[in-house]
Amino acid sequence: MDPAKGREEDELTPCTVPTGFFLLGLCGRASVASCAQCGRAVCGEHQEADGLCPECLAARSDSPPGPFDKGWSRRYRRDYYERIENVYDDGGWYSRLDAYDRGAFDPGDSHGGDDLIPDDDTSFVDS
Amino acid sequence: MRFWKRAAKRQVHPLHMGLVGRKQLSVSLRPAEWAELIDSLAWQDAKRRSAWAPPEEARELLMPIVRAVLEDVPPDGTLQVTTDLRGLAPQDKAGPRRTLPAPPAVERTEWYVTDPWLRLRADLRDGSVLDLSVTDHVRHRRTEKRSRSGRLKIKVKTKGVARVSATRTLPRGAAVRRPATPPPPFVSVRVREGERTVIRTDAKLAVDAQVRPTPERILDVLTELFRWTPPKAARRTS
Ligand SMILES: [Zn+2]
Ligand SMILES: [Zn+2]
Repeated sequence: MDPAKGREEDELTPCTVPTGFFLLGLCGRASVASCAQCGRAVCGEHQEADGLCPECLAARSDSPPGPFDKGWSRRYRRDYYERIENVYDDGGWYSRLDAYDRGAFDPGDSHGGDDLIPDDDTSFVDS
Repeated sequence: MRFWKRAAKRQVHPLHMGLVGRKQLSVSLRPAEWAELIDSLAWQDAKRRSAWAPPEEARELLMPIVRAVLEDVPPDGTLQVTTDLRGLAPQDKAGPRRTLPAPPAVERTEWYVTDPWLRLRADLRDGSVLDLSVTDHVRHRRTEKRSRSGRLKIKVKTKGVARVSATRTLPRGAAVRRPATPPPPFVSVRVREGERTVIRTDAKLAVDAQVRPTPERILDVLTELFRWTPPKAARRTS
């Protein structure tokens, strides 16, 4: 919530907070700051307490939020992608999430993520 | 003091009332409208002892599914949900009873309870449409036995399945690709390719009168629908 910090950011850098559940994407709104921990660009709506992005905030908290709470989906999505890899024996599934979310749950590998394509790009790539 | 009074005046969302009072909900809302309802539920859920506390089933069963799907609904899309969380007890869900052959002094009856407790339809942000239905079918067998001393013993055994069926109707012209691994044995999948390709998945999960399918199992079944389309590019473009 520090406006001075926001000004340091490139106005055109899109927010790279992962969105969606089955259909993953990146937020894509104009960023106002970067996450204090993983460094990813975050928009005003995704700027959380202590200058963290929602992913880093979710990774930090010990008590999982309840199903009515704001941060619930993010935590649940992480658990879901981990589970599916076993249920489906599909190693590609978890890497789908990982491609959108490097850093937060693995501080050793913290990318800024500005090489990712934001939500407003609708192209699908068959890789 | 003024703030406290103002907070106390906050209204419980009308749909929240229905969910608590009748354990039912039948709505078609945009994500922002869902957020208002969830907010109202969160507010009462956080209180200890509240007349408007959301029912356990809403918290543990409905919410995880609704919130997961909502993440993929765009702001101008709708998520339609019809749910009945009352369980198997209401009489209108029970089918006719029939008498089964039994030894003398024993009476055996059997009936089925059908509980279509969840229907959901969502416009997703890639232009596809998700449909989900979950119906519990539970067989009840009641045995009445009169002992020689004249004492009546009654036993009810239940056994059943939850049928989970879901389709994802892709946007016009979108292609599918068979996933590298087959789905787990409890999930079946069919794909009907056409102008708008439809992926359909079905599963039967074991349940009885006490045990319902978990939201995790239902999301596991839905997952197959999303393995047939490649993820949106999330990699370097250069
Ligand atoms: Zn972060
Ligand atoms: Zn954002």
